[in-house]
Amino acid sequence: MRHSPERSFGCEEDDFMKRVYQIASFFFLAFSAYLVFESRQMEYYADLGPGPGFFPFWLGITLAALSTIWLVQASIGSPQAIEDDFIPGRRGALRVLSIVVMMVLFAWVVDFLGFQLSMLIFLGFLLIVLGRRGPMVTAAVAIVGSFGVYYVFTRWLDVNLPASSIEFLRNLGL
Amino acid sequence: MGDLQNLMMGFSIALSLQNLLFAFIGCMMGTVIGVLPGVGPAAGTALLIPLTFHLPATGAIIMLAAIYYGAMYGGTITSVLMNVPGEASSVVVCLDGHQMALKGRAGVALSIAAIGSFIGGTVATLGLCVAAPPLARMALNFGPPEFFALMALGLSLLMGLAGKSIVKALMMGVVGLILGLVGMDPVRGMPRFTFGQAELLDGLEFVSVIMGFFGVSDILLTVETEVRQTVGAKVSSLMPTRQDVRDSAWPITRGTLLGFFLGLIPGMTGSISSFMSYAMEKKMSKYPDKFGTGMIEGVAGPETANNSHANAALIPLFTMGIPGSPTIAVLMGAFIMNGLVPGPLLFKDHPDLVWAVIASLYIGNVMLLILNLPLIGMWVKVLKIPYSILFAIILAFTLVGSYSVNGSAFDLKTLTLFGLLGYLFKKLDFPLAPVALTFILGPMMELALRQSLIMSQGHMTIFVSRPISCGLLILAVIILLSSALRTLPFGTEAVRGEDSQI
Repeated sequence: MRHSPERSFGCEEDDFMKRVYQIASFFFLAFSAYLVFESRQMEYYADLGPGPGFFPFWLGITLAALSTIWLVQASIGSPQAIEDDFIPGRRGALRVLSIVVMMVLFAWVVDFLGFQLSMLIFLGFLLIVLGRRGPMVTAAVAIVGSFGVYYVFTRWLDVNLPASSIEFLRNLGL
Repeated sequence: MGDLQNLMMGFSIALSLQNLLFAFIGCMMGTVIGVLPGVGPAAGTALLIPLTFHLPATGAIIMLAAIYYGAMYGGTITSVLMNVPGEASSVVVCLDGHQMALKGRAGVALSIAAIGSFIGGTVATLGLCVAAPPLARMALNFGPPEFFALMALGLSLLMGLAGKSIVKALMMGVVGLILGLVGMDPVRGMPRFTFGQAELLDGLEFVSVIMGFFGVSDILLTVETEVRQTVGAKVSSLMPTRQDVRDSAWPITRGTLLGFFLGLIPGMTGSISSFMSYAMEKKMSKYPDKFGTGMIEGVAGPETANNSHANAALIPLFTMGIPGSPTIAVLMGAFIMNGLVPGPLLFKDHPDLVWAVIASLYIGNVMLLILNLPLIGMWVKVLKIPYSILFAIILAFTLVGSYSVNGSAFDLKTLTLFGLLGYLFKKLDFPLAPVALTFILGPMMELALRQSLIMSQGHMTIFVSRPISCGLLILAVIILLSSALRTLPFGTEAVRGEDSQI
């Protein structure tokens, strides 16, 4: 939900969004500079025509030009109201962070622990800690989502999902 | 073999028990995706690609196409009953559809939406049968400059319509093209931006990127706030009155035509068709003031336009290999994963597949009409699953989908990274549809550009010396300039972006 433009905001809040857009445009400018730099390490033009560096070079230049326009727009444009949902509350931010961390952890351990255990932990955490579900619901969803999905995908759909690289766990069928 | 004979051959393949089953499963899954808020058709279709890995190519494409248009049907149900659009094209249906539900006419709204969707989808498929083969034959005469210009036109349309800020839309378009650079250079085969990772030699995995941008990012945005379960309106009698049918007849006719013609244009999304149809119906109505209070025309027109658009949007994909929306881009990715290259040669090299898929569109539309109305109660039950459980299940599916494409944990990291990036882009009001399209089209655009320049020995004039490419490029520039002029006063409108896809 956004504030209507009619609502008045303090100067600091107006400046906040401006600052956010400016910082973001600097990130884009830095990224374009990297792109142009990298593309200069590649062949720009060869006998046959444009080389591998041609397209990235011009894309970098275009992104830099657009980021500059955006930076100017953000800097000289009219002040903008800070959006209600732009900065999440503490609990909201924690929920977002927890999901990202759990996804990274899953990616990290899936080949090691195997799909079934990794997914069991992943779902268990999300449902208990973030979803605040009871143990019965959590257990049911986590077991179906891990062991059930593994069975369906590997047996019926012929899609390979990883087994654990730990021999003990692999011997247990995990 | 004539086109009619080809279509008959397509029906004989699509009507096999196995392919009917794939179409049925696709329709059901698509409807679930459409029903569930927070899973759009692009992420949903990408999510379900792994289910088709070991299917024959024809079955896989039939199923994925059914998921695509099934999602278009399903999105209406939540719009009408709960005022929560399941996907972007159904946003406008909330306006009058939910009002009808509050007046105890939910069943009628859903019936008319399903009938309109069926008529729109079927007529557009007929158009596909008639228009696609000659268009494909014409596209066979296109060279790299024409293809480059056509892709540039499609992208300019998408960016021009993508949001309030053309600058932000263009930035996202360029970001997508940059993401498409990762991997082997298409002409020389030299690795670029791979950071020494062997997994990146084939480029960024598109299923992970799309699911990250459209699936994970949505979940991250939703979990920021406590989600309250919405209580839906009850479904009344499904039978429309004679007056309802009379009031809906012209909106359905107009919606069919509008959706079909807008669907032909690469870059137009289904939501644009449904919004334009709503605006048209309001303008043509004797009672424009009553729109938003439960007018059946406000449901019939947009729903028909949306589904007509969905089927017509397959024409640019089948004939020229150009996806018009992120979901079609995902479908294109599925074609490529099955070793098929959408474009003019598809009709020539794989007539059995392409005509079977076209025939399955007719069958799928009939299936959805028959299935959807009696099963409305079941779809409503799906919606009763608390979001605190649903988000974990969706996340689990994105992980399974992402991993199973290449059997690589690297793709899971890609998924997470692009989920986070998508979340940040959405926070900053960047439209994401241009990224998805340019990411898929990027390597093709680069190849067409470089081939053109090789043909002309480096002279850019090749693009203006050939009449078709010159005309298409002029059109692209006009569209971009008119969009830029709209946002020229350097004010708030210009700084903020937002997705027209919502």
